[in-house]
Amino acid sequence: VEECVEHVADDAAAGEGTMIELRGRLVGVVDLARLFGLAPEAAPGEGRRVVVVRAGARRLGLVVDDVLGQRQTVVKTLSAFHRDVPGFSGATILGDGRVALILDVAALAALAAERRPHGAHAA
Amino acid sequence: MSAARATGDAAPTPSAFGTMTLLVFRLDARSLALPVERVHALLDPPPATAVPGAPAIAPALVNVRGTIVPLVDLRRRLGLAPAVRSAESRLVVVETAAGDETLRLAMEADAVEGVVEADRAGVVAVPEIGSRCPPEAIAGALARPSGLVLLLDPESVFAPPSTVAGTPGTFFPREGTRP
Repeated sequence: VEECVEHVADDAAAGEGTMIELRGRLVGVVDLARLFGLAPEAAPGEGRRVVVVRAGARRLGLVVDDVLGQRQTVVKTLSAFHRDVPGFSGATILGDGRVALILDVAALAALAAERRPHGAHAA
Repeated sequence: MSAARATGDAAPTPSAFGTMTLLVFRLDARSLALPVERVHALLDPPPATAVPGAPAIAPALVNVRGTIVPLVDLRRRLGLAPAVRSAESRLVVVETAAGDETLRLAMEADAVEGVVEADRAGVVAVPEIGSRCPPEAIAGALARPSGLVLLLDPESVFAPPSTVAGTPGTFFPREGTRP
């Protein structure tokens, strides 16, 4: 993770395969909710954020509903049921007892790149 | 009377003689049972974390006393309609053998009826026709005064999809394939 910025509504209007400008550099942005086939909880601009991550030499912006914070955790591997699910490297237990999934940034970048040629625009 | 138990190993297969101890629970009006040796804990259902792109029979993760455990959708595995949680719902934490590793997982029961001792000789085979559940998941049936109890085969019913015919990549939902 490099940084977290506000997601501006204008960027989202272009749909999938959008970019944001970050201090003079363009960063490709992927809507995580859309990538995972979920309905986003907040509308674009309503406090959604972009988490800028680095995967190898590439930078990638992940659009998320909200940022809960950062913490040091113990990463637990996933069981045989979920080992093959793309995009996750493990899971951890949060302070309130809930389970949080840990994203595999490199796999996400690959997943997003693989999706792009299909031009899948959800209605 | 229990002279039939010659060896000390308590095989969970219902084919041997002697008695077995079962945890009996309910899904809808159906009574189902697992060998108690396979049951690790009974808990109030905790909040689950959905795993996007996960196989439908294991859609989420739960925290069981500090360990992260896959939540198996037994209803889907058995071809039953989804249920709503009630005050009687219980999380059943199960341990099965998957290959050479022990797999701990959780499933939700509508209610837990209790632990019963049953005579292995009373277990009857379930006809493939007439049972709506997948035949490999059911090890047999037991007639009890309260009705028929289906004995689940834990290794089969809780087998991870990756060890069966799962091809990696098909688990990830494309547009419109999510049930």
